[in-house]
Amino acid sequence: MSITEKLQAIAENEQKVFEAGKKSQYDEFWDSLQNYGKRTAYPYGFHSWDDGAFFPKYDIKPTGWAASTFSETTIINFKQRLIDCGVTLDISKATSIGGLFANAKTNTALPVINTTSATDLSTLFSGNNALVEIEKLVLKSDGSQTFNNTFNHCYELVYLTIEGVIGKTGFSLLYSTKLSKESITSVINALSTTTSGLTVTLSLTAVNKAFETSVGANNGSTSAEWTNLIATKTNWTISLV
Amino acid sequence: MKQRIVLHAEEGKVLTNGEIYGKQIFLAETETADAFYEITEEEYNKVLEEQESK
Repeated sequence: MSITEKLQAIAENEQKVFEAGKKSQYDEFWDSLQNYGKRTAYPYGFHSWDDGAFFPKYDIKPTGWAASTFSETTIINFKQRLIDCGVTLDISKATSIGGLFANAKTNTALPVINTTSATDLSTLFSGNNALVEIEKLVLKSDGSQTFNNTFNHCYELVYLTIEGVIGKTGFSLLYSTKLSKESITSVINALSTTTSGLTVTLSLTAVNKAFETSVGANNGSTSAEWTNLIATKTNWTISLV
Repeated sequence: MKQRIVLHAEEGKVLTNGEIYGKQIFLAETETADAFYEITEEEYNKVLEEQESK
């Protein structure tokens, strides 16, 4: 091969070499950060990470303490990012998840969030101003978890599916004025039938819109559909704000 | 089945019994309306701020 031919081959392969270098750097970084997929301790692990930096290589499976793991991140679509990276988030073994996503103000979507090993869900999604969807929030079936400021300032939340039971403390989605009928129904259906003295707080705007009897009527809180739904949980006070 | 008591606050007001707050409150069958009174929305917002700062 002549020098000219060699230089031409180098130029043609330059991009491949560059990409290989980047991939090598990516692998080295994430292999180290996630300990080749074996890391299970992530407290504040990705706290304040930027959207342009979060490209996990391995499934994220924290156990034990996972408080504030994704707090104050600026990830745009957490659910889609995991899909794009071919990884999953599994917090089903995490026992401490307070503030897990607190103040992740730009994120719009979350995947299934399994909280069945945790007892306190306080501030879990607090400050998630842009959050539209939580694919599914899995709670314990014994209704023993506590909720304090869990959904504070979730102004854009529309889609929320709950599996499990709410039974130990009150539950508030007062800031979520856009909550869909299906989401509100999911919340009501999740309320324990055996507890007493507790209150679930919802947005009056959300209920009036979601259960309105005709488009634009905004009369959902007096609709038969709403009345019939909450008639299944007369052991709960339901407050609309 | 015991009928639910439903409380409605006046325009611009929020009902409370010191623990429960709402503009429309569908009381649980074991609750009574006796202890409820109205506060202004401004007062309610202050309560929210205090609760969230804890």
